Amino acid sequence: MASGLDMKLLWFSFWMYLAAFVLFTVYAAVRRRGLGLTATVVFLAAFGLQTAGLAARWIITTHPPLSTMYEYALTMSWAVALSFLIVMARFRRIVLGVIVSPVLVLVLVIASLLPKEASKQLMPALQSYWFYIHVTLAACAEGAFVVAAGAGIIYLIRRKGDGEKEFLPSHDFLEEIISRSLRIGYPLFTIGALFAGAIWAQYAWGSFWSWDPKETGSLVLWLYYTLLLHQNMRGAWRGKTLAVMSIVGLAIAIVSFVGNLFFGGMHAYV
Amino acid sequence: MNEKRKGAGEGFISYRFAVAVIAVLFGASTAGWIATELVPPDFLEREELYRLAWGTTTAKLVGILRLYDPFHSSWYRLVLALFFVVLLLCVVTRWRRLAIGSWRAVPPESADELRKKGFSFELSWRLLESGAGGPKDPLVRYAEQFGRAEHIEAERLRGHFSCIAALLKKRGFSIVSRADASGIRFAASSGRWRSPGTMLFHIGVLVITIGGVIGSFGGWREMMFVRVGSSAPLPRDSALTLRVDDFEIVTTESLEIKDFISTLSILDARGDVVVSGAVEVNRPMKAGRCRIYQSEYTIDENEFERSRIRYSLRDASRRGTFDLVPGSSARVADSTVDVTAVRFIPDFRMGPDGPFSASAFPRNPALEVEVAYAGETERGWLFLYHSDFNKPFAAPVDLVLDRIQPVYYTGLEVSANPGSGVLFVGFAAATLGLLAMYLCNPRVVKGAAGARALVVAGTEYRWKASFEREFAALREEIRTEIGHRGCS
Repeated sequence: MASGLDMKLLWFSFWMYLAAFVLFTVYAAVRRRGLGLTATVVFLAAFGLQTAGLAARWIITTHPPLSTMYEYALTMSWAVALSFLIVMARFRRIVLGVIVSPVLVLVLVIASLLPKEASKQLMPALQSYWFYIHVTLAACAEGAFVVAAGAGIIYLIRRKGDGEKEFLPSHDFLEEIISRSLRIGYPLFTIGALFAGAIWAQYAWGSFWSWDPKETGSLVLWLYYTLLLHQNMRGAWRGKTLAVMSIVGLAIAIVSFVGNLFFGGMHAYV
Repeated sequence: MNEKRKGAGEGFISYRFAVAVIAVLFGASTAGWIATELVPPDFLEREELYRLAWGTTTAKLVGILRLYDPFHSSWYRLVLALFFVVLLLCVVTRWRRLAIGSWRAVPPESADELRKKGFSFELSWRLLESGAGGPKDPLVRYAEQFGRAEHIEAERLRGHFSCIAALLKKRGFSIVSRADASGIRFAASSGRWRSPGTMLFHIGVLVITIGGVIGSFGGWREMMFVRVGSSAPLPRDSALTLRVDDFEIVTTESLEIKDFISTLSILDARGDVVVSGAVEVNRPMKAGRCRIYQSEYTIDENEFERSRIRYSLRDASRRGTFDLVPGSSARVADSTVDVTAVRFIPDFRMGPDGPFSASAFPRNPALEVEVAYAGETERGWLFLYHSDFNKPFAAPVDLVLDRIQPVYYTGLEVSANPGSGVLFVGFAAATLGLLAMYLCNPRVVKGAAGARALVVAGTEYRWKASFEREFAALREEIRTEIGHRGCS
């Protein structure tokens, strides 16, 4: 297989996501059903290309695409796209694509700025099955947090009381999407990023926890979402506050994600 | 006084207070995260320099708050201790309710308490029994509107209830009911593992914290670099000695590092081998109370095992090889040219301050030699993989580095953590708890089937929108089932 095939497929998927974003936006404005379906088909095609691109990279590198920040960003965006497709299939809300597609484009733009070398050899510390558990669950968790933040943004831009005229989903529906995404992301993050990460660190470095910048960032993020879920459960952070807090959570997740580029430490993989 | 004390106690373990403590821990962790990036870890060693740069007050504050290592400071430990105590109190005071109390739902005391709930409906038996045509039947509508009593006998009521119970069971609910003169009151619950899961998760976090504290106070880790072929006492265990029998860097064809492998022997005081084996990254070795991890390796630039140099004497057209060991000289065949090894660099790079090694991995090995001939000496570099760049010497000899064996020091981390077993138990408990919490969808439906009407309410649920759909579907199923099939 040509070594550049993965890059080509991923490049095409980026443009398809961008096209889907434009179509979703136009659909949101004019509300033509045909346009919405076209946007969905384009999005599905982009997802298919991205899946093929990731599979090609997996075959080329001989390991799952999770070892560099570029690959992690690709996998995370793939998890976001998959979550969106599941939510859309379940709730039939095409308009959610207005938020998910630009988020995907943004993640892919960030990914494109990162080093993309495809290395066949994983560095010794990464040669463990804990690596796959840790990174896959963390990527899925962060994907769920991205979906929560996306729904939070729609919640904030949706006007109140427009009823039938409002093309965006209802506030109740959006709140449930935020809530569900957080409740999917939180256990995945706790088990994958924290527990699996700590157990793996014990095998690789001889210590469950080293207060490495990335580890501390994960702890901060976990504490934030713990706080958010507790407040949500006791009814304190609902509605608009929940929407704002889910966006703040994503901001912390981004700092934690890219933190190793600036902070260094034991997670300094690029 | 007692009331006041009770109030204070409840306040300390209230949900609100617990959330406040999580917020404080989040704030403290964020502050520590930022501090580690702003304050260099060598603050203590270079305190005077930082005092000049930042001013006395800032430097003093950094020192007092231990911002160069905030997660081992007393203020952070205090916050952690507070978190632990509150979590412990939450678990102790709520375990009965979460683990046992919520296991089975209790039927309602009366139909009135159900009418106040957000999700509820009340349907007369007459309406239900009249089936799909009921809402259009003027007699039924009259009865519904004006509350005309339409009592049904006990036998029919039991039949209707068994029909409703069967519908609920089909949806995964388990049912508890009580029958008395006023009718049948019931509670149907599903996903009840969630509350014990919540309890288990919190206990898991507590156990993890305890394991962390045990490891923090009773554990240790030390780094040791041992030369291949030599021995060193195991840290904190005077009875055992570690010997490095071999060290290998496994690489791919393109010189990418696949693994580091150290072959070790642990010897007792008499020199007998207690345990031996290979240690790789991610595959530690257990020795006594501690574990040995392959962490890294290094090369001393002034050392190498031996090197082989190919020579070619220009005037005599003679070729051959000779070995060179560090610090020694060798005469090239029977000529008057002497060669001395000066310096070895495993991964040669040229920087502004001269040559340096980019890494400890022998990616570009180079040997600096001093050539002495006819009273003159000159120095030059010989490259293992790039002989084109070798220095052409004024002496009548061409030298090529044929082989060089660096001296490796394997970097082993030796650590002991008496809290690791506790931590694993905590991870297992918390993971099981989380799975129970998030895979279960707890719902409670309560109802009162009286002589005149049926009142049903959704009293507990997790997802409002989906429960709303389920509750509406249940209402329709009850209407259809009793109306059309005549369950009774």
